[in-house]
Amino acid sequence: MVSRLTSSGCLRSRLAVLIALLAPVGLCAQEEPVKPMRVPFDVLKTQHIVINVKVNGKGPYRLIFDTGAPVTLINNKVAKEADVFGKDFKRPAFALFGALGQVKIKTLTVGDVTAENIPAMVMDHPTVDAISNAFGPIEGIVGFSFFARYKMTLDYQAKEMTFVPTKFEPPDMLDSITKSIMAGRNNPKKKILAPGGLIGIKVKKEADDMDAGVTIQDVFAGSPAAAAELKTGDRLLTLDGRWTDSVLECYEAATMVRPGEIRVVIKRDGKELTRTLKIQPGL
Amino acid sequence: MKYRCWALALLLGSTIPVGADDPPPRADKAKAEQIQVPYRRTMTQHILVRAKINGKGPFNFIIDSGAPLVFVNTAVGKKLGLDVDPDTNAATLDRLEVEGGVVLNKVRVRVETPFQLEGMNGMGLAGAELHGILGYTLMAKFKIEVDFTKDKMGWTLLDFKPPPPQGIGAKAAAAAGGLEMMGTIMKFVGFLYGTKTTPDMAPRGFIGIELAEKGADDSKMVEIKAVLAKSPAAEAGLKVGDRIVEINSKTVSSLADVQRITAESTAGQTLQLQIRRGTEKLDIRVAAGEGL
Repeated sequence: MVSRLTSSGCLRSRLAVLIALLAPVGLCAQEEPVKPMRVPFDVLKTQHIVINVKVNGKGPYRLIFDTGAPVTLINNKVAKEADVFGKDFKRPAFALFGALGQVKIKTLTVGDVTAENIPAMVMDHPTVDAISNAFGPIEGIVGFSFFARYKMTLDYQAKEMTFVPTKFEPPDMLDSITKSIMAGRNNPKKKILAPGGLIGIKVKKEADDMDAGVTIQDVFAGSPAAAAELKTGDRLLTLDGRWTDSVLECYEAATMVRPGEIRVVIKRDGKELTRTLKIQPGL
Repeated sequence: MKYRCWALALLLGSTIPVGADDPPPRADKAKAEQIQVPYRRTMTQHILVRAKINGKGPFNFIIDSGAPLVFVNTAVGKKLGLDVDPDTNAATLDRLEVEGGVVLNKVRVRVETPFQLEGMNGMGLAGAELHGILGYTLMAKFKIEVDFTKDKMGWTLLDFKPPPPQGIGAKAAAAAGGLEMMGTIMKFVGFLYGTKTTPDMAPRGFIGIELAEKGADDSKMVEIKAVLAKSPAAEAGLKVGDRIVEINSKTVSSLADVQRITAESTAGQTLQLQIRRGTEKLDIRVAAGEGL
């Protein structure tokens, strides 16, 4: 346990140094265009999306674009050609499917979109290989670590994606998984659902009540809920577009709200009504 | 730990081939307005949306262009009593409603548990139980917009009949099949680690005060703007205009401080407030109640 923690901490600090060294390059090189950058794509017969990607200026290579892939992945051939391994890169002693670990791609270019310092895995993924064998060369997968940096649209009819850079910094999946497993083991306590503002209701649901929504048990006088004319006995169906089918779900939805206007849908006397609620800071 | 994690993670949530072909899905008619679909990111950085099947649920689905079909896991299929073709595992959902207001009728799905889902659920990796995957056949019906600085996606129905995906053939699928065992392995690892698919949850306690930040940078304070009648705050004697100096011995100078300090307190727990009322300093204990 201790040794694991140490090695994970060590890895992370090494990674931190790497990021610190690379950061200035990223800062001065990028200018943010406002117009969405269009990227046309092809689909394979399997309907997987294929895009042309340049890795560190090399290529283009054909990669699958995958909204369900948390990481970006390139095969060993591309990794070699594009020279993604830094000088300090250490090959792991054991490489399942030729998996050589995490690297940073200096520039990943998709159409007019160039992203810098994209974390990626180097691996000859068996599924990608199988698809590659069936439908021509496919050299990897473009995933979350790339597309999460952008406001993205995906349109299969137009066979086109668009990208606009945002301020979002995609967290490293490995870090978040490592943390969550560690947290889960060391700290088995409950997750507390804290509403993001004051609404002013108490809700309930009986164990044998299988209908949609929760029942409003109480509306506090003078609260945002009272101002929106919610009433005791109303059935709360959605809060800010989220289902509230159990008391905990209702709180879960409330964790996402912030002070300001939201819409709620209630059922009263068999009719669905939409009300606007002005959430206040408070608790 | 980290190395092992990613070796497993590599095999997750990526591209799924289909062994055999599936009949084309039916297109649905609806207005072409952008529907706001709430989503969240799982700990594995998958896009998770919730959906009800035939009015039951909600169930958790990941949005995955690497999956050619809609997958519903076997346990959910059984629970819903879906009529599953024993040869192809295909079934038709009468109604699929995605949270936010996307309603689709007669949706063709595959009732199977891809090893990625089994693995993630087995290790509790995502932080929520995953019940299925919304893949190409559903995604392609919409223009989908996602911005990770927002908590909702935009889905606009297209007037488009997505062509059906073709399989890569039994032989090629078998070649990729070496990964199937990963799900089982990860489930076993999860069992050893004692990981839970879904964490236990509890609501935060309710106080019944509206708050406002007062003052500029250095002298910022949090003031009580309203005290709700019959709330724990009213019972404890908090008053409009009271300034919160400390909660549980931690200094408060912003709304964010209040949110952070109280984030873990549940109903029944007592908050210790230090209040400035005029020139007086008061210590007031508030027993948090139920509500939001």
